[in-house]
Amino acid sequence: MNNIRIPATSCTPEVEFDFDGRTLSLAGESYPENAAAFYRPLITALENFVPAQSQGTGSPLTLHVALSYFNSSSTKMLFSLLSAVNNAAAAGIATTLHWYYDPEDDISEEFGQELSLDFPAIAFHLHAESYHDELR
Amino acid sequence: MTSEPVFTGPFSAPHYDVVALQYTGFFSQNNITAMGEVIRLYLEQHEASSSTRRKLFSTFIEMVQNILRYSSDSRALARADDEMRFGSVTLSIDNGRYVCESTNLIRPEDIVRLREYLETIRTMSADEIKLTYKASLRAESPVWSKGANIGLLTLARDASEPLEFTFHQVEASELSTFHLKAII
Repeated sequence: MNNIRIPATSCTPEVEFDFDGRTLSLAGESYPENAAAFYRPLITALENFVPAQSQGTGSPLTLHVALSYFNSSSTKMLFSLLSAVNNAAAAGIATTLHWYYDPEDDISEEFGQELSLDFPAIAFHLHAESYHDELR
Repeated sequence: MTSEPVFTGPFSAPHYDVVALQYTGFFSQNNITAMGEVIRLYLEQHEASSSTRRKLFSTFIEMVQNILRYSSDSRALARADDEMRFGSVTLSIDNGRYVCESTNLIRPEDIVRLREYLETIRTMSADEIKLTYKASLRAESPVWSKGANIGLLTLARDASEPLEFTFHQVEASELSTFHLKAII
């Protein structure tokens, strides 16, 4: 499985998809002009990860999502991305998602709650704390 | 050139404390990001509520990305897969409330669809907007949409009053201006 590392830009998050280490993270801003172009390769990688794992060790997968701002098209793509993660979880890969949001950011909090309802195969942990200290 | 309007306009009282940002010209992701940084800094120093800061930043980004995606202006610039489009955005403060406005040109066939959609959103309660937003999140994007088809719903969600909009046909042109206003 190819790991993916993309440094953050002012409008796209840092991506650390360490499939070997079973830890995936997204951190930073997300408002690219073309969110589909940014997220599609990540979703494809996740979709490929599922069959690759079904004969494997099946060790647990952990995701950290800490986005300070995501625009509407990123929101839609995040939904698709987590749908792919949910499929991995439903296929038997124990998956935990840590969702970090600013305590005053009710939009991110609600979206995290929304995701947890839609994707029951994933174990959700919502964290009302600044992600800067959390992931670094 | 004519520097006078500048000094009698945005640089003189009472305008200097009510207009936070005004831009008319080409929009690209790069200048959107640069303007976004200015707005972030402005809000950090002028607005205590981080919830309001987020709503305003979100409104600004959704509006200018709408211009970047949908403005139908012959002045559009294209380079490889990068396009720049013409429009206008203003962030101001009116009676203690933030007002974000955008203007761009659109084709006649877009008016019907936009008017219908915006009229529908205007009649919705905050809860209905949220529910429609959630449903759209799970739906496939319509073919005409270059974004996620939830941009206008996102604007409505973050606004404290129904979105206001007008269309005006441009003289000697088939295009119309589309003016959109959100009060946070």
